[in-house]
Amino acid sequence: MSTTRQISMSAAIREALTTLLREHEEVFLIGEDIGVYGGAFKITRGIVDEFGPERIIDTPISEAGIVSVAAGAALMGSRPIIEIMFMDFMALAFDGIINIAAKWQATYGDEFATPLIIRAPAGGGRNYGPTHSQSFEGLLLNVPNLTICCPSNPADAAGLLLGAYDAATTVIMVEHKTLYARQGPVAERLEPVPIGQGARLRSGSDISLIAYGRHVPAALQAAEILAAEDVQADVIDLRTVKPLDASLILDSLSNTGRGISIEESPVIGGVGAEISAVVMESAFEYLEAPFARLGAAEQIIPCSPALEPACFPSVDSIVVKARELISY
Amino acid sequence: MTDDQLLTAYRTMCRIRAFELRLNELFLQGLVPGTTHLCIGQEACAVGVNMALTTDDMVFSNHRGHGHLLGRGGDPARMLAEIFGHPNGYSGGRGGSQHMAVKDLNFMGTHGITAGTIPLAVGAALNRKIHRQPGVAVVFFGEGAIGEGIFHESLNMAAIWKLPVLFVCENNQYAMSTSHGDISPVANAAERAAAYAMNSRMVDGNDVVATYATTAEARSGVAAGEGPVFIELQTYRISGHSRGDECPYRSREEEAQWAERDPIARLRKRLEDAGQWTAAADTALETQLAVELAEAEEIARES
Repeated sequence: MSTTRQISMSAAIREALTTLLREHEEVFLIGEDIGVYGGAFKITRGIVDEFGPERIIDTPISEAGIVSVAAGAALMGSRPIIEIMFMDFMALAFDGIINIAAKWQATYGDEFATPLIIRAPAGGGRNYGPTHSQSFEGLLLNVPNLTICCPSNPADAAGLLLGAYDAATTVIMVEHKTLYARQGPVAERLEPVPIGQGARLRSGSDISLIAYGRHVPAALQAAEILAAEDVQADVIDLRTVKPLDASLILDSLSNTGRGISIEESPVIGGVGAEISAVVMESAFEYLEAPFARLGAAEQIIPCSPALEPACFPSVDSIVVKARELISY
Repeated sequence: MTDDQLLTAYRTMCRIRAFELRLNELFLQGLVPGTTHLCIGQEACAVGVNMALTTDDMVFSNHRGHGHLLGRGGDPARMLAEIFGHPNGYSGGRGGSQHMAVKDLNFMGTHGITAGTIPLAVGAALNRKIHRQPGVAVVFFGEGAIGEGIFHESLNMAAIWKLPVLFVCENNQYAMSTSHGDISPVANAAERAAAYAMNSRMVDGNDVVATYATTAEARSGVAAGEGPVFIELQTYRISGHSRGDECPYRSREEEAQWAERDPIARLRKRLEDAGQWTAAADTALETQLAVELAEAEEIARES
């Protein structure tokens, strides 16, 4: 087993990007203010010093252009890694994502692949208000041929980037902005995390807590509280929300018979809705209580620190829902 | 253009016209699924531009792309197979008329989203620049594409990074039913380039010689690293926008005026005046193209 060190998710992502740039000359980074400034969240800070502005490309404020231009470069053999400053701004780039990156290879054939890695700081918790706090993984689930990753810790954030490079398809990397400072163990030499594999972080036979991103640490805390009440939670970190690791979800549900999905995107038509459908289709006979969903409320995400927390799942809401299902 | 090139241009333009006319017949007979966008009247644009390019150049097209692909050397049998939805089509029948690409020809795709390929050409040029490879990116789009935000983002990026891109605007006067005058505050599409400090040219796109000469001249500067160039080709879509368009938005007088500037008739007259072409040669070519097309159709049907 390799030795590990404790680093932040920011540092792990930076290291993965640097590794990819060093090992593959066809990789370049492109986005707004990612050069000397280092990106709005300082993830790429310092990288331009090693690779120069030809491979760390600062752009005009043109999200649509960034994604589609990068797709054009990918079509000719480049492997662009895009940063969209806030995931909310990705709405401006949906044509490039939906009509180009997700379609070109599938339509014209394998010689016309446009593999893009699109990183986007996402989600609430920082009081940035309605247009700087959204997380679009639920929305993007509905687009065939997209891969969507939502890491919860430094090792996965770095490993999924390497895994996305290996997968050579279009991957949306949803990076929850409140996790950037989160510390965690990372192998001395970064290891790829295969796309599409979830992880069981805690085993239990009473209830499944299926989460991703910032709700994984919350689910683990909730599991601690529930354990004190003699309820053993099975905690699943999805890591990739598309494709879903259905076998892990079903394995968990078949043991517990009860489950909650916990997501950052709105619950209507979201990740939990998809998980619920998978459970209904394939684990119906195991259920001892209705499957439950927690996620962003059906409203704008308000700026006020007094209002914002009520929009999202929390340790408390997970515990309350779990108790409800246990006593169902 | 040399005498040989002129004859090649003429034959290719006639081949495109014959392809489109036959496709229209097949549509009217209900033998083709979906929709299609014909380029009848715009053949000189496709041929003049393509003949000025090299095999390293990357060509991006749009929804009205049959002429662009035939001008680049596309196989009519595989194009028809694609339009029929057959497995031997260029996209295995998945794409249809609006989605064909041919890697061997560096023909990077017709596409169904207006202006959608403009940034792809910019990205392909960016790739060429980073890796110092030869060739320029060329993208065909209509004047209607200028209404899209991505047009402006793309021109801006190409200009600030001095990328090797030729932006070829075929101004066929109508975005579906909407005339250019109704949607543009500036008279000519080429004027847009000035906002990006980009060189531009305005050409009679129904004159294949002028189109070829301008493209060749612009291409050499673009390939030399002088930055992108915008070419506006003034032309006219003789056919309707797509299947079922009866053209209620334009007058028969206007159509008659443009018919007098038909690019194929003009080139034929030029060739005849120069003693390079005869009525007998024209009849022979017509027969030859009909035979070629019938063969292509048969191959496409059976594929």
